Amino acid sequence: MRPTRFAVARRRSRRSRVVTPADASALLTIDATDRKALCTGLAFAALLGRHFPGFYQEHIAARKISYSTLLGVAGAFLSLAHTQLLALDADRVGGLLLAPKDPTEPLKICGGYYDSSYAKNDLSNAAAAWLFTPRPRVYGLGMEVVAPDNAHRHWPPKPSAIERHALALLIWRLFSDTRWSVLGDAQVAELAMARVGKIDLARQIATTRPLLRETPLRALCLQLDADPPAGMNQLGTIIAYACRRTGNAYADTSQAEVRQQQDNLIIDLDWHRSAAHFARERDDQQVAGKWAGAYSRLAGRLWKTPALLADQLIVAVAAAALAVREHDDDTDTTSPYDPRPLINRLHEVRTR
Amino acid sequence: MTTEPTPTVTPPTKIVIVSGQEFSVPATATIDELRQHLAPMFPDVTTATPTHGKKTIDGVEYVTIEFVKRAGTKGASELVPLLATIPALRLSPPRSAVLDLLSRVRNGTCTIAEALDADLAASIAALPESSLRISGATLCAQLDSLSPVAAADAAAW
Repeated sequence: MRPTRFAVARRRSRRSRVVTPADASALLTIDATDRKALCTGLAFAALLGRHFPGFYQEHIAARKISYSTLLGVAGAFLSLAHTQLLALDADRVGGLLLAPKDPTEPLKICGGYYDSSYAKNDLSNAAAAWLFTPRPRVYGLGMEVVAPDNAHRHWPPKPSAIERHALALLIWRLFSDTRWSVLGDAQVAELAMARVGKIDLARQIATTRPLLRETPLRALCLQLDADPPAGMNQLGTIIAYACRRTGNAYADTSQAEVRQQQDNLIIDLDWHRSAAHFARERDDQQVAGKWAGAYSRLAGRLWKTPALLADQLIVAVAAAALAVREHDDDTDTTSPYDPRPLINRLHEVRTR
Repeated sequence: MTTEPTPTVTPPTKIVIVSGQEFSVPATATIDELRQHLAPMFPDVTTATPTHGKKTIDGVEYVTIEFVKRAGTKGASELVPLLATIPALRLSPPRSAVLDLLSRVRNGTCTIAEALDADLAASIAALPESSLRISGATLCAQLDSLSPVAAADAAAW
């Protein structure tokens, strides 16, 4: 087999391109950091327009976009949100200093002095995600302060912490066998002896007899709030608060717990919720602050007159428990106690 | 005097065309025999499609059989997983208004209100990331590094 004729040189083909070059603009891409920083900053500008339209029109709308400006916008929003939507946990959020007195302050600071690359980094780093997730101020009793594992970190405890937690330990001991138990009676006794500097009070807490397991707890708190022992207003509310059973997340959660929250948010909020939603949350937050205040006042008095007040408190609770023992509501020992309906009812009765 | 018609000459050979080269082979050779003989030199023949035709050389009409290669791809069997690892790059051009705004953002002349009114954040979110781009040279280098595969593999494509 032999070739009869060799192929002619490669066929000349017309010059043509299989792919037409795209317009440069069609191939526009964006760096991931730029994208995140711009989207974060613009999201905060949109939030300002939504929640604070007057401020937005006056201070934000006409500003030229830069990373520094956008970081200032985020700071301005958080400062306004802190005072008008929901009180935040700290005076600093994601590296941004809040300026509740003058929300334009972050705009001046970031726009005037903040280096653009730093601003871009702040708006695009992982912490920026937290800017959208409010870490609200909460008032719950900090378990971490009295937990045995962490006790050494706070040793010697500050006097204010001892004052705060002597009352909590007394209440926890009283309720250690009930469904609202925070710690077991032995743990409470151990903590009391280790932490409460006043030995008589510590011994009294450690030897107090817990209430019976089947004590109707909500009825008990209701009784103590409706007919409080002398000098111990809102004792029912204070007990529910100390046991972290008010059903109000701002009263039942401690600051440390909110700071440690990761994916499973204890208080699941984001700034895109409606103003009405934030109004309800703010009400809950303020009520929780008042309950914490009532607790602190009683805790302070207990610290000043421990023997007298502890006796009064234990007797009052035991008497109320006796009075409500026939209460036969199944949910009573498991549901939280929200004192607000009672307070509203008492208010109605008094204003008639 | 009458002119007798010229008798049709049936040539004893036929022409096989492979890759532009022509070979003279016995007219009786079958397609399968041709494939068998040509395969060592032209592996593509085993899967190429034979096309029959005619060609006149010096007044003699020859039957031609041209083996036309099927379209295949070098390294086809490995190309699929390779392509799967390359992120998709959307090349639909952004609207000109968005381009204009983006350009002004980069120049520092776009206001926040203009950006929000045009929903610039959504347009930015839809842009492909720079890190997803793969240059033509990189792609070719990766393709070149693939080992050649048998024509049968390519044909399976």
